[in-house]
Amino acid sequence: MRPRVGYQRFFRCSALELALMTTIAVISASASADSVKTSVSAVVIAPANVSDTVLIHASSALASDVTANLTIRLPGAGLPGPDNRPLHSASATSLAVLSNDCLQTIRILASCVKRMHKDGMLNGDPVSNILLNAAVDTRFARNDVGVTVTYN
Amino acid sequence: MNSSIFQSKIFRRAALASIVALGAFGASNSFAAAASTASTATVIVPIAITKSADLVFGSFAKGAGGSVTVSTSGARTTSGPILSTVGGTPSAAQFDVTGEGVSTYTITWGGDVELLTGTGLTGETMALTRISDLAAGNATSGEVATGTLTAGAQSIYLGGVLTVGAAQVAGDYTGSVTATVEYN
Repeated sequence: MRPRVGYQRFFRCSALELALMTTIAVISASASADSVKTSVSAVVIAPANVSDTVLIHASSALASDVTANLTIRLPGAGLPGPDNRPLHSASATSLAVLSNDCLQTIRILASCVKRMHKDGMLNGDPVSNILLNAAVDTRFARNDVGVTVTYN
Repeated sequence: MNSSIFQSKIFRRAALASIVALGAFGASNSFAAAASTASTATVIVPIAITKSADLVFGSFAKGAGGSVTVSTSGARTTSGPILSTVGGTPSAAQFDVTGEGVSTYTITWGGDVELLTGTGLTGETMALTRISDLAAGNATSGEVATGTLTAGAQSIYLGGVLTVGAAQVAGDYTGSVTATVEYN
């Protein structure tokens, strides 16, 4: 093994010094900054088709000899609000329930639903001839579908 | 054959020049008087940021297209799309920053500017606009770029606006946002 000469030792020391300073700089930088990542998510749901079954909130079947307020809630509408009325999100899908005499166009769907259903409540026994309208995909089309209603 | 780099002519000249330069520095010490000074150092608490809640827009139908906004307090509103209460509960993201007592810091935002589903083809992305504040104050626009730690802590709240297309493809959309904090 050859003995080390002076300049070799000098350069080795310099390299060590440089490495030390770099380490200190890295430690210093990590102490003054930090970062974190958060995930962002959203779910786009497909509009319901008019042939789909309308989701009914309650489970009891309608009896013909009983009159009561009926609530038809569309899929995704969620639970009623504090006043036991359906939340505004009762029109939470691309479907809306309209009675036959709703004269307004689908374009102003929300007001039509409100007017005809009294904020989501239907009165009568039986309730019949309910039409479902696809609010988005077939904006002006009307299709008869079978609707089952239950007590709220 | 002599292959050592230390024995090459160029290397020897470079080393000699370095030694001469060091000698010059060393020589200057010969003309300086000795003095002492008090040295002080303050070790500060490193700044750190953690995430305690993600930004969730929840479920909605595209409707005729438009935008869905989640404010910095987590409230969700829509202009066009039809909101659904089924699925994930909308929420603003929350970041918790800790560090030295009362100190100011900068906030740098990064990450995705759109959420993606599938392979990101036409109709499979939604533009994301960030909203942030320091108080969960229901902000629906704007971003914060600086903060001040109080007693070594502060929280940052992140909401956003999603632009929903009339031809938006149904699916689960994801992305990420990065928050970086740095002492001023």
